[in-house]
Amino acid sequence: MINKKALTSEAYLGLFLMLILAVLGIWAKGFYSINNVISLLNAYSYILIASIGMNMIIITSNIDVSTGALISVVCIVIAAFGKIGLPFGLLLPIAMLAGVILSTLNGLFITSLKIPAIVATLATTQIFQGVLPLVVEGSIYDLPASFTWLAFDAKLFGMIPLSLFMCLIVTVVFILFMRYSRFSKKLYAIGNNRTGARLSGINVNKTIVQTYAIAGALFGITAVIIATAGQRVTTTMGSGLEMTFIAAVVLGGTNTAGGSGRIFGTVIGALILAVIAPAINYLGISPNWSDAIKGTIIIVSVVVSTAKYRKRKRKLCMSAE
Amino acid sequence: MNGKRKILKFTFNKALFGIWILIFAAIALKNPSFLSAPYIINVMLRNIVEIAIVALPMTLIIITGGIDLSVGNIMVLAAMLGGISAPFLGAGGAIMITLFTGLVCGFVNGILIAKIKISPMVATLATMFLFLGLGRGISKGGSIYSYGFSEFMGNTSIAGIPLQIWLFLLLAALFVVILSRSILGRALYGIGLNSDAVRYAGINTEKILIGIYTVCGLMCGLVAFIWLGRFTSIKYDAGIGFNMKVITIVVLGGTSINGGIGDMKGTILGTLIIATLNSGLTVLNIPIDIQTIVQGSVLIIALISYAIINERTKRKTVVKINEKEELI
Amino acid sequence: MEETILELKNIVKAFPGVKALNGIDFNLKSGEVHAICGENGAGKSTLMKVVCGVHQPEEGTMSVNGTLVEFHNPMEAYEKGVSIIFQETSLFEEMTVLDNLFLGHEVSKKVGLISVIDYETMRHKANEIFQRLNTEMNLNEQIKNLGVAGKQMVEIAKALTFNANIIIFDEPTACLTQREVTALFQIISNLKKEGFGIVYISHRLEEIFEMCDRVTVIRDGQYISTKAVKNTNKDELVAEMVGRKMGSYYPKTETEIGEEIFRVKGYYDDGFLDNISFHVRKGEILGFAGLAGAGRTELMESVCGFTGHAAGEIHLDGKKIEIRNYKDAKSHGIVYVSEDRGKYGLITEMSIEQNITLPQLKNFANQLSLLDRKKEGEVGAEYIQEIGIKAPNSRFLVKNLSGGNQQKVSVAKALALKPKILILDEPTRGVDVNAKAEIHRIISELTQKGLTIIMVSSELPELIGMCDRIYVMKEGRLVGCFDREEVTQEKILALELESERV
Repeated sequence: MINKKALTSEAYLGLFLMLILAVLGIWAKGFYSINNVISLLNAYSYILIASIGMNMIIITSNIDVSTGALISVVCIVIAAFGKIGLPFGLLLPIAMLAGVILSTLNGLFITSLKIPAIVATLATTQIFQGVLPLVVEGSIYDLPASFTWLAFDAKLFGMIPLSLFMCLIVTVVFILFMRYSRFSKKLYAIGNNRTGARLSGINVNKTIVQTYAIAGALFGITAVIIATAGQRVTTTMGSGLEMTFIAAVVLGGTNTAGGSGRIFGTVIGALILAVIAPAINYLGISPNWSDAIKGTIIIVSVVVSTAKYRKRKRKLCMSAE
Repeated sequence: MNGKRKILKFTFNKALFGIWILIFAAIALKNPSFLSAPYIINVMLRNIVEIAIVALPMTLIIITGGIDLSVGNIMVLAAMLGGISAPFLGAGGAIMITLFTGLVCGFVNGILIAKIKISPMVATLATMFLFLGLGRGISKGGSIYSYGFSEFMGNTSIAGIPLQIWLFLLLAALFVVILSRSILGRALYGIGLNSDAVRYAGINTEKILIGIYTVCGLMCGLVAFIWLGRFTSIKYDAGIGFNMKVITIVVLGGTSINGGIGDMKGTILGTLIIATLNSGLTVLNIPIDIQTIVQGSVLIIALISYAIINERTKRKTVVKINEKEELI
Repeated sequence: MEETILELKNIVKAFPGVKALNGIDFNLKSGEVHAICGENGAGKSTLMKVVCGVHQPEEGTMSVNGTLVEFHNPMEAYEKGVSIIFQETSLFEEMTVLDNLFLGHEVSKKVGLISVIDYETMRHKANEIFQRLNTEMNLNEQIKNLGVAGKQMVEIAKALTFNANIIIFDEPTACLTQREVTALFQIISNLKKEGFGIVYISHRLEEIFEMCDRVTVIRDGQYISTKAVKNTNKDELVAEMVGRKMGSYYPKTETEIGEEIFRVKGYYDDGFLDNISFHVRKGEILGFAGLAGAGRTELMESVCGFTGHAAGEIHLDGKKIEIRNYKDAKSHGIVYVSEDRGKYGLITEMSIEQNITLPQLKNFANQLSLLDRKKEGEVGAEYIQEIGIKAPNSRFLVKNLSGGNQQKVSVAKALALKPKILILDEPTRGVDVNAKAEIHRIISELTQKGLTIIMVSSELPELIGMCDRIYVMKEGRLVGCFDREEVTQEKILALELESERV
């Protein structure tokens, strides 16, 4: 009766990723050039950091569709501070704080009014999006060199971007956090069975707000990486990104119904999404097809995992008799 | 109890109506030119009609506890394929292709959700990417231009009222009747409240779900003409954010995102409120960004009041039940 | 040596408008199994929820192991040594056995300044506990991969991780097979020997006499009596639960049985239902006995076309018919009332009339598929009258009805289809004694009107009292058939329990 667990969904995804990478190695000349790999990993780093936050939110069976707008707001906030010459060492904590505040608002909104997360964050999306242009005329530009330090100067060993290093730290910390912290057990418990979690003495609302706060900090880090990539920060730098993050999480095997999913899956899911755009470029396909390919991959992975789940469930029913 | 619920629902739509009148009056007082009939018709209603039409089938979907995030991208894809084929196939072919694209996209959503049993949010999120990507790939990232028939759909007036508004009125009446009076409407509420019970009553819920997602796709195909005609060209990313605007209207209209509760009249009132806000604020020379905030705030206020009303009725119901239990 | 470890005095719990518990006294000694029984709605579950901190009482005191306590949530109760195994398991499906055992009280250790979960120690403790329970368990298995019995085992183990000495079982055998019940009883008696105090809530009086030392009866939130089990008997307990002496338990009226009307021949389904043949005659009540998981519900659902992958012949009125889905079954007059009315039967947020018309909306609509609400109302009112549903009118929401009345709505919904064959799956599950008697009366009356009824039930006295013939099912096969005259509980049980496949 106990499934042989031959391969977890992460393993399947990993294999798929290997396959893509191998194909690229054979067919795509120059894909593995250092410059390309580094620029790919740079994009990967900000997708992954925010996706980890999104993953935690989705595990509690909530969602956040305001992330893109939230990141736009944080980008503008740090651009304002960057304009007056604050160094990166201060911009990062400011961004994280701003992310925490805005995301906590989402959490409070959801828990105190008992509004489904998708609706609540839909409403806050509009607020975040609307506030920005009021404060800023289109963009903040001519930012000083201190602002773009992360993108252009912060290299370890002269070549590995610091952003990638930040991503690595965040990933490792959160993999450990999700395995070894008591807090993480609460997340899964809430996502599985809210009432049961409450009866087990878990303060459900508080935990959800805390989850949004933690995710907010991660969104803040992502915002820093996005904002400091150039000397101009516009008011729409994050728009639409939430869908990429949700896609990375879903691709990583997390069920949007909550209660399941691992960071490691998201790590692979985000990498697949990050690889696709440059990959098709190197394979000589028009970049215009990248979204369609992403969409197809997400659909296929979801269909396969759903079908697998249903098959196993049916088997279980039969053997229970 | 049901009587009570009816009354509540009734006051609910009445309250929405009151809010609409209030907003309308406030804007009209500030700037009387808002009241002119041509303005109301040509600007206020014409600007929202695509969203309004898609909100109709979206209400059906949300009442079953589902959602469709891909609507905007279905619309764009349908408009593009129509626009591309128009020079080769003529108007007739373009019309067929546009509607057929919408239909197929909606059908794909329906199959993923009803047959493969992927949660509606995930399924339509994925197809949203796919449709967006197909649009981008097919158009090579460029613009697709309007053609004769879409010009006609977007810019014709009959008896002084734009064609698309006639179309909306017709469809709105149809959908109101379907949801409130028909067998299908009853089954949709049933699916939203307890889909297993509907299945065990011998009703084919899969067929119904596939049906409403397909209809939603078809409606997206229909508004594709209007959109293309109104803007004369379309790019692949034109549909981004469209889904959220549609959902905002439906939720504002009192339909519960969890399914089972809501009605079509609420959606229509929600449409009017948003339309009035959008164009009213423009008339008052309030920048478009504040409009976004106002729209968001209206949604939040609506959500908060729904939460409060729900809480109160729940409490009332509990007391009622206990009284009844002693009775019975 | 037998000390009192749990004592409740004068517990009062009121919900808005109703006193659920009114002055309950109860005590539990170490090393005893103490049963609580009462009708549905008597307040058993509420009482236990008070004990384990889900509800807080308005009045009264509770002491655990000699000290006065007040619990605000089950966690606090666990920590003081009181644990409860709920009717619906409160486990977390996607999480592992180990995570479930220690949820909310994970063992942690310090690594530097950070406190991390100590899986090693948890694993060690968990293995110890399962050894004590004599059970094999893979600690890394997800709960969703376990069967009902496995889940219950995890719940029991969870209680033991708290060092609880008071364990409350709320209807633990409801979904278990006989073998699993035996295993459970073994565990309970072991726990008892180890000195645990056990509170045992069950509908099944047989179990109380098999397992328990004392029994407390409560009725309508009032304390009635506490007795040693060996000094009482079934009739006395039932009388105390109901509050008056029950006369005839099952008012079966004799009906004229006609010709054979329905026959199933050589029926297979997906490898589980195995060569099943049976028939039923007009006006007959045909019973299906069997243990949980014997395949009775599966057989009925398959015959009604819900599964869609069966083989075999079905004859109605001597003619072979084809049933591919439930719609076909309905059109032939074969109607099924599901055992789980909350999940598969009723839409509780809808009104009585809307539930009744749901399976035949077409008959209440015009050519344009628009519903005739007036007609719906009339039919609703008609059945409220006919079946005796206690509701002010047919627009009343089903969720506001009692369990028994909800079940009557289920039956009304089926009858409105004017069936020839009515299949009732566990028609009296979860309804109280009075409603049960009433449903039995309705069933009897229906057969007098010429309806044919097939009834699946897990309560043997019910089957024996009501049915003209009883088939016994086991592991997807029919293993026997008894006539009304010859049947006894012992004969059926003997067939059900016989372990070898013939």
